Amino acid sequence: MMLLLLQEAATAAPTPTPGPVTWLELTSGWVALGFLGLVGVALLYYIFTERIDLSQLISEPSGDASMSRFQLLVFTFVIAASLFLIIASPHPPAFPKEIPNGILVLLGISASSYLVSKGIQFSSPEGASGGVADVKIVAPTDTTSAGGATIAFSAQTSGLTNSDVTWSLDPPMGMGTIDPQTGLYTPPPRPAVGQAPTGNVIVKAASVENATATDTSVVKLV
Amino acid sequence: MPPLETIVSWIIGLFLLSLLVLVLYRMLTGKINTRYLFYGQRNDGTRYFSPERVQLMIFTVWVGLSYLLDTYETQVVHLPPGTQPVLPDVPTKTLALLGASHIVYLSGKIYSMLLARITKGV
Repeated sequence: MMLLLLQEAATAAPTPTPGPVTWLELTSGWVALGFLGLVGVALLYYIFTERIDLSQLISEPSGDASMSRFQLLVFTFVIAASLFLIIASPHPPAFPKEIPNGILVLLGISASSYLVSKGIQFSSPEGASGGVADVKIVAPTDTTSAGGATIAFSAQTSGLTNSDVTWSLDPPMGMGTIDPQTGLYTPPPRPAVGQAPTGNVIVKAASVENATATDTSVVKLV
Repeated sequence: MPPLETIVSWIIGLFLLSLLVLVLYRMLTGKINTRYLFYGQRNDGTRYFSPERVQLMIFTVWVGLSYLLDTYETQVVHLPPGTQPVLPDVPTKTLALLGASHIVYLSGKIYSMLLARITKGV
């Protein structure tokens, strides 16, 4: 009898419904959102101002760009965007209950292929060291004028353990100066009287580790 | 004022989009290093233009975009009312194609390695 009464009471009891959002829940939500939003803005700002350096995002330690890392970057963006589409779709927001096997297989194929390719590459001493020693100049622009803007050159190295290079100019005098360590080119000053120097000046970067690894770039003085 | 969920969606969406634009811009302007992306390396350290890398990149972009489009169509546009969206599975054919693409890429690497060894007489 008692059991019957309890069962009846249980079936008659109203189903608990979610109550209105309290001010505490709402405040917590806004604080968490504000914090995450600020973290996101700070990350983007630091990437934009290059305080977070992404220059080697898809590079190997040797300095060469890696197709496997590029593939991982593409898949990361795709899965992040897919998650965003699902969570932000016009349904109650929820995180997916499970990651489909297909996605895991996709990432598995990519990672296995990367491992095998590294195995092939590292099967020789030359491949392990990153290949032939090489230097490549990166210039934001190749044109300036006497008394004009400076040009900040940089160099990418590969197949070298020391990435430092020495900068020099050809001709070494009369067509500006370059900082041998930083690669900052300063054009010659504009003369008060007479013609400002014009023409081409060759910028050379040479590896400090291997003098045969060099690269040149031309600056046009107009 | 819009509900909290809507604002969260906008913030995450804007963050992802800004990050994508930044990364793409940096790649196109050379500030993210893409040197030798399409070049393979032989066993002796020399480099060669590698069509197998080009095809791998095409397949990668194709698989990524088709998955994103599939998610949008099945989980956003054509999702029946009252159904909870899930991450869609990757079709077996797509996985097979991507696997084949990787096999071509790895075969190219092995071929160039063997060729260099034969040439050197090792």
